[in-house]
Amino acid sequence: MELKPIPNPTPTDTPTAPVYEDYFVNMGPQHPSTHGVLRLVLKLEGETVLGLTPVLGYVHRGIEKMGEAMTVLQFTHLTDRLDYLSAHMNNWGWSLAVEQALGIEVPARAEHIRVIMSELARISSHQLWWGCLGMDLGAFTPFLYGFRDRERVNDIFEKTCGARLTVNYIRPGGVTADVEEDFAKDVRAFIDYFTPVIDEYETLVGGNIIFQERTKGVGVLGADLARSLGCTGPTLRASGVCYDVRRNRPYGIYPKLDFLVPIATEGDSWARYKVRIAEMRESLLIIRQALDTMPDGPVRAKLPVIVKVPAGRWLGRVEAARGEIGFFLVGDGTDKPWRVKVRSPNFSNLAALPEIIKGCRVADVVAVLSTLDVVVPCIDR
Amino acid sequence: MSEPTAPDAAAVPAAPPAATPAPPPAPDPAVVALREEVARILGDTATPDSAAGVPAWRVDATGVPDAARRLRAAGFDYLLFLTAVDRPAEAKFEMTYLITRFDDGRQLALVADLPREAAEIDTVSGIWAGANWHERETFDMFGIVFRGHPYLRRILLDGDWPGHPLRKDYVDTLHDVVKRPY
Repeated sequence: MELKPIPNPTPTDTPTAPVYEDYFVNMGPQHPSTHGVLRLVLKLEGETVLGLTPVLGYVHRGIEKMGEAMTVLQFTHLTDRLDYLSAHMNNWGWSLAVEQALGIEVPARAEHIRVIMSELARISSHQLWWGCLGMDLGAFTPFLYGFRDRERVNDIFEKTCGARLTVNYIRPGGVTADVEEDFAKDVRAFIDYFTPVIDEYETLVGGNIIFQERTKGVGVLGADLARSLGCTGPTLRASGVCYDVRRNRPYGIYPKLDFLVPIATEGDSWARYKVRIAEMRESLLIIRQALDTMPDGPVRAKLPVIVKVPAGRWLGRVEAARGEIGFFLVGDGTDKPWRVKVRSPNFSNLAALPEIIKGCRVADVVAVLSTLDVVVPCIDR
Repeated sequence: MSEPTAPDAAAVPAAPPAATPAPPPAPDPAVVALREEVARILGDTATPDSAAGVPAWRVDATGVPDAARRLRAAGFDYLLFLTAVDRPAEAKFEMTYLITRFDDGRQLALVADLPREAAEIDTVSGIWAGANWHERETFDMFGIVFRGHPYLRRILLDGDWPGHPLRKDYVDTLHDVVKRPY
């Protein structure tokens, strides 16, 4: 394979402007379109963005350091606080790392519940993204629709997990407890309700000419740059790279399920929009299959009373709503991890923003940031 | 551990069976194939690491950019992340590069030891652009200097933050927790 030179990412600094026409604008850390505490320093020439530097760390909580001070089971709940919209997938990724380390087999019923919960979380995350995208581009209605429908998913979570957001449900060895008795009925009702609503979503936002004008050709991320930066999730797949952990490095029962990995080739904001909408449809299909084949039985494997992580390096990789999240666990034979490292999909996806934003207008920053769909607590950890 | 004793050695207290580690499972064919492939790519510059879990290779700290370049040219186009593991007992950092690829997701770890005092290593941000921010984070959290990095500054903490928090000897003076005997 011939190596292509990677464009050297030269970050724009925040120093004095070389000419007085350049000026710098702080977008955030308190800004409605950054979806969290993220600061972007924009270097502008009139309305055109010459460069952009993200300033991170406003919600850095030292989760990796905290992981070294608690047992692997205690750490599970902190993974909820990374990307809170993918809480189930984060739990799953950490559980995978621990299960590999301990060599635990997960019961079949728990594997099915994990898939259903994760795909529901993916849908709910994309619903929130869709609503906020509309809001960022000046349309208020999608926000209300998105949150109206997201409420149904949260109700399902609340009934079974006891929490709506920081669920702490998937745990090493299985899931916390079996689903409550109305679960299958509720989920089926949600699928029946939401399948036609996606078409409504598409008509309302995707069919809007103003929305198309503001996203088509805006913030184009090339496939080579996306690969080199380690972008994942819908951001990568909208650039024409077909990579999905569920397909390329399957875990759980995903190999047994029949689903498509939506991709687009344009790499612009419009492509990222289309990929996420298509993902919601696929997630509904996955949930239906997992529900139909869900067996009875235990939902949690037996764990040792004191879980000791054997010496070695373990890595749990799952496809969260925003891309691949990885949990790297270094054990030393004691009950506490020697090192915990979180590979955040948002961190790598955001790294693309300074590259693809050059030459765009100020208003496009909002559109591109919104379709990259970053969640700041996952970046800052 | 000594050889198994003859059955007549009843006076010797039998070792508790729980202490014997389980026999290692049969090697995964995918891992064997990966080991062969990486041995072909890296040659004798890298030695396989025996630690359990992710298949790992050890290289000299000076050989990291070369090994990274070879792996990238051989199709390992996806740097999942890079980080360090502090080993104060051995006075070293283990720089760990988790490298995989987009087609089949095969993963390997490239491990290089750095002395804890004056930890420096060449950057790989010219090989995978994504390494840029990860190296900044590793600098931020461990104080490891990446030679040739285009913009080596703290990324998550404030510029004037004292110390590097993920070092094992880091003392948090700001949130000093009183240790109680109960």
